[in-house]
Amino acid sequence: MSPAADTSRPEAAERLGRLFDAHHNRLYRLARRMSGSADAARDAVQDTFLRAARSPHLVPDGMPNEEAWLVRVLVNVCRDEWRKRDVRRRAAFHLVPDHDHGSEAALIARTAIQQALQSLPPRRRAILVMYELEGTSIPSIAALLEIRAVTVRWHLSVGRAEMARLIGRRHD
Amino acid sequence: MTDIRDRLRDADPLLSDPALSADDIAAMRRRVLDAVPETPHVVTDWKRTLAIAAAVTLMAGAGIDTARRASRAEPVREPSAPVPAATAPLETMKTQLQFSTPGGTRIIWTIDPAFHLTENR
Repeated sequence: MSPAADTSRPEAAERLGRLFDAHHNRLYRLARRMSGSADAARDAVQDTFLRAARSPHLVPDGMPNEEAWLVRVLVNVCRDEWRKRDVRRRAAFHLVPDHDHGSEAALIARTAIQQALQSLPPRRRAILVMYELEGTSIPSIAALLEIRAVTVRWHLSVGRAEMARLIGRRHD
Repeated sequence: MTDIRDRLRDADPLLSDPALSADDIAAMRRRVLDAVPETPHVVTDWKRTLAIAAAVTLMAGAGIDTARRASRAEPVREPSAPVPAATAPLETMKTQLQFSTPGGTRIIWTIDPAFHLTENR
């Protein structure tokens, strides 16, 4: 995976435009599933492309390589945000009202699931989302995140256990 | 863990919030393209840079090492005064032959060219 060759500003902008058009939707879907809100997901996607804009030479050439690079940057952006908001988010998780009736109960249950997911470290969250919701295979996730398949399996196992524990605690 | 998968799918935020609006996409695209620097980063061939740096380091190291060795070496001896050429005639010069026997006795023969064995009968 070699960095792209040096380009002038118009060329860099054109390439970035193509990059944005090709990947913004996929990144938003991943970010939305990893983030607590549409705004947070939009910010994460924008930050990801801004990092590409500021350092276009770092974006590798080729569709799968550039997608993998963008996904890794997105996960890093989410991790930075997650670290900043860690304390607040953990506190908010315990403040979800514990009603258990009607459509409100379903909403609360969904919120609890989302909050449990967001309490996971971003990389683990991304792996869980890609595997369980997007249906991405373990080798593909490993290639995207540049980690070993065994590491992906470990994150999946630990992530599921953490989710089960957090969700179970909400229902105790 | 189908239970976790089902729960995650039930709570999938994309069910209610599937995509960015066209306005959001256009605004974000504009902001991103505006962020491209006026002078794109100059990409240097890192292999070439690394090779040059290694060569320079090697040369500097070799120079320093040579200088240290030179400073530690014995001082250069000044050439001794030239031995004056023998002025005596060749036939009057005595030659010595020195050697040791296996028992350790040192034997010195002095050969006198002026010596002539006379025959006395």
